[in-house]
Amino acid sequence: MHNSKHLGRLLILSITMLSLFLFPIVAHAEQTTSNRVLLVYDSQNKAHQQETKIAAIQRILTSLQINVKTETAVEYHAGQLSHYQGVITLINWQQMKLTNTSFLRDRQNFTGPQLHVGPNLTSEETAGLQATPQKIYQQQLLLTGENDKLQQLLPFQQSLTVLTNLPANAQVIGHLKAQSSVLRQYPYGTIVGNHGYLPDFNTGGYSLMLATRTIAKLFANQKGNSTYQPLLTITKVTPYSNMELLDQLSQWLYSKGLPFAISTTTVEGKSNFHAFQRFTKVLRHVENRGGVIFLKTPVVGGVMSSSGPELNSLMDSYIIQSAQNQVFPVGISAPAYWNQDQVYRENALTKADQSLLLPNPTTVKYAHQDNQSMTFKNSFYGVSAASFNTSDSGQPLSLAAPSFAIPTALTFTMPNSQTSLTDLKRRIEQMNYHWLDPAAQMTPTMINSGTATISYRAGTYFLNGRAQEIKEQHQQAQTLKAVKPRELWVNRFFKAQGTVLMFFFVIAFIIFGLLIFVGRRIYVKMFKR
Amino acid sequence: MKQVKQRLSSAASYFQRIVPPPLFATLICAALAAFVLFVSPINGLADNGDFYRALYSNGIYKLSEANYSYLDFVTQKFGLMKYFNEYSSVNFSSQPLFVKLAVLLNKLFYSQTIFDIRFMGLVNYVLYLGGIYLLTDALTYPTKKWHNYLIALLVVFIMGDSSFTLYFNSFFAEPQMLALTLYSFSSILLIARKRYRHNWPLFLLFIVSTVLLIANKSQNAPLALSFIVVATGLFFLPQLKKVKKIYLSAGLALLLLTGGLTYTLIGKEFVDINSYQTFSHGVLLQTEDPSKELAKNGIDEQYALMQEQDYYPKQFATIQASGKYVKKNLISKLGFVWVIKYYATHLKQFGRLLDVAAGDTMLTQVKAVGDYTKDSGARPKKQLKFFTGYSQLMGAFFPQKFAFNCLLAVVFLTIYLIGFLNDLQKNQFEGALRFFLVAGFLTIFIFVPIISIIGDGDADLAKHLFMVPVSLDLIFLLFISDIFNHRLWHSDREGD
Repeated sequence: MHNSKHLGRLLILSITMLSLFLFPIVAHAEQTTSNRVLLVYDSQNKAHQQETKIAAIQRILTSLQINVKTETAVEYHAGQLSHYQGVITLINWQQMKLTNTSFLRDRQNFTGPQLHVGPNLTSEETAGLQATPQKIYQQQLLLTGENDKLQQLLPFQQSLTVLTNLPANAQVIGHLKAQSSVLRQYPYGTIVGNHGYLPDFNTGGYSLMLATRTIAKLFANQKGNSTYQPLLTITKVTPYSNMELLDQLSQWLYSKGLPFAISTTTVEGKSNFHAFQRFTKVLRHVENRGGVIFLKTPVVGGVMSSSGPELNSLMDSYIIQSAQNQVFPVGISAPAYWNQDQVYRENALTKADQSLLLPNPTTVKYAHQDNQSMTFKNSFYGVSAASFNTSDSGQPLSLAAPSFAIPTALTFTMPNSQTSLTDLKRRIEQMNYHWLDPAAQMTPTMINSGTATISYRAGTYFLNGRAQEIKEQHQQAQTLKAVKPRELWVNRFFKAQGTVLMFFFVIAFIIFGLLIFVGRRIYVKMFKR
Repeated sequence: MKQVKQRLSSAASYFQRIVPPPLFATLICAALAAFVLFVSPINGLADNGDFYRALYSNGIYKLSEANYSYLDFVTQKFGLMKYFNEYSSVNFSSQPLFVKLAVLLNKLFYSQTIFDIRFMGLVNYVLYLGGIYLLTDALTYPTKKWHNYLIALLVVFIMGDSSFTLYFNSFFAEPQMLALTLYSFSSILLIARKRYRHNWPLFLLFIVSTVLLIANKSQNAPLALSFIVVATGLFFLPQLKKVKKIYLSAGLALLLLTGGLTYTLIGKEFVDINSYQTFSHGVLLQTEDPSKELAKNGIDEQYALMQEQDYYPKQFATIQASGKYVKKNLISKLGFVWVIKYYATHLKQFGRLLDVAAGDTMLTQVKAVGDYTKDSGARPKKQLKFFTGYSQLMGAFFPQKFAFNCLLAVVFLTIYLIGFLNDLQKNQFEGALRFFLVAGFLTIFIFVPIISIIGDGDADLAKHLFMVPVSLDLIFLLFISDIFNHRLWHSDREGD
């Protein structure tokens, strides 16, 4: 008995060692957790949806385990940069010039890695890059990889500043090719010493992949081309989703041997409802079919900076109630902006050491925005799989299935009808990715919530340290009492059978009494006349 | 001794001449409400999240969104927009008339930039006091007996309850509903009591106040039918010429039209909100596990988990009910017909929901929101105790069974039917007017809870039921005053 326990520990230890060996990048990145980068942007430029770029860069840095503080250029104050190991300048609005001289001065004197994204490259920055800027106009550009195998057509550009005459020590990540002349090509991601430049940045597709690699090389010091296989992720699952379709989908993925993850919200209470039991049963099927579950944070209504305790207890009860039904989340998924909010971070995100950060919804609602961020042992960058499918020339990226520079989750929206399920299956079949297998390749994870600690190591779930076998029909450890309508004492008083009738009789008697009284008076008066 | 007695009686009749019962009631109500509303620290009702409907479209904004207190504290100062106001009204309503009047007074006497909630209170206060005067007058006229002062005191005790007057310092529509109901009720009763030589001013008052009342809030649309019942009594007026009958019919048509307009002009968003909350706060309630029943009725059983969810989540929610998914997969499938069909096949559950409504009927003080300002140092959501005796009494002792309400309605109806028939024999019209008045208000008493449950479940139930206690209180007052003045079974007969 004692021996077998010992053996088990040894096995876990060896698996951990093995996984560390398999993922040297993760181990490396852990050493750089003290890394702090300041992201300075000019404008959100919401009219052109440019605010998504800010969120995307924040997420990339989080995935690289770099703490990021975000600041607008106007609010930057002198000396601020000295607290950071790196700086990224993001220009979202070409027409607006950066005028904060203390920022420009501090950046020029900054010795750590610095990256410029977008237009309006200053002369000091080009000097740092030791290259000559060249402005090209009205181009449809093709983004190609190192050996021209992969390419993706970029959206039409009004103007773009590219670099020419690069020094010999420059590292170039990807090239931009003008369609007009195949021979003209410009560097995309460029790194010269501690200076980096990205002429353009998109939140999906090949551009994202190469930009991510540039950022990883510059800030996380990734020497080799460390690679991550993407995680096939079904998002927007809720307890209200079509459970039959979800079950069919997980069955299909299992039969195809495709490991996957789902990101789902849950409800608090109501665990005695048949609907809830059905929901958790389908999720247990997911767990038994090579899928893992990310607990999605709730949607936000009228929150305030004082909403923290409410969120904290809500997340706890989500996790505990899930665990009671043998649904063991391996991490928390949330919209990207949750990591920029102190209340959301401290009361929800910190409960897990693995996260899946998704693109922001169209409207964001902060409880207490502080523009700081936390890092996780592992954080997936969630990006719509569709952005790797589009290609106007050559084969779609998803066919070539390149690997990523950061942990990436390619997301598919939960289907809502048989047709959309069929469509989803077709889309997945067309992709050639070696999907990340959580059981074999995911770093050990842990979620804490007061009374329940859930961990996931090498395909096994542990609840408070004990390995769990996931059963088809789970007997709840704790049966909850049926919900009864609340009662007031007066209500109880009147509830007893027949009291209503009794009351009616009392009133009837009173009325009869009155009638008799009035009748008698009329009677008496008749005689008085 | 005799002299003293004589002097006393002459002093008493002098008092009766100077301060007749209607004025007596009005003065006391005025003093009580003024103490609640205007004396610092002021009281009122905190925002439950609905104020925006009355704020922005009338050029008022929250001075500080971050420090604005929902639910917990009353906000006294608001900002007035200086430039073009881009917000249009979210709903068809007569409420803006009153809010705009308050804004105008505020601009004239106080400030161009800051709005003090007390000006809203003032508009509601004056409107309400007029209603109290007319009501007491209608209940006591034409008798000159001393117990009319008792009736006046009863009016103060019931209608002057702080649970009503607290509403005045808020952007809710209820204070105008209260006052307008008083006008509507009193004008019919005053016609019945032959208070003035000409009836047309009272008839005009009835039509105007009722139209404003029905148009005040979208949930008041069905009240048009109740007031049609009330107005039917007017056809019993003696020597009604053809022209007058046409006027009368035109008035009734106007009421119907207002009701119809109010109903059809409910914004699409509100229809969605109501459909959703009917489901989550009605269909899914008062049942152990709604999952299977839903599946039987063609809705995915998973939606059972939406039990008690709000359309706009207070803080956090599992899904955005206002989002595309819920709209497409749930709200589009729900509808009036579906809800009716569901309740028709689940009568037991519907009965329990009606009992919930009955339980809320007499709780007129809105417990969900605070009555004090933050500056007063009160704890959040603190409830005012001052002069809430009647609402506390009724809240504690009024039976919380819908069946009881039905029986009560039958009893009142029977009593006033007897009066009606008696008067009919004697060619008097008071009994007819009174009967239809009572019948109309009883339909409010009985049908508003039913409509509320079908229309919006138990969400905001206490507020949706506002007209129910008001109508019962008025009938109750009428009943007591008729007993005092011995005219319960027939109209007033001099020399009786």
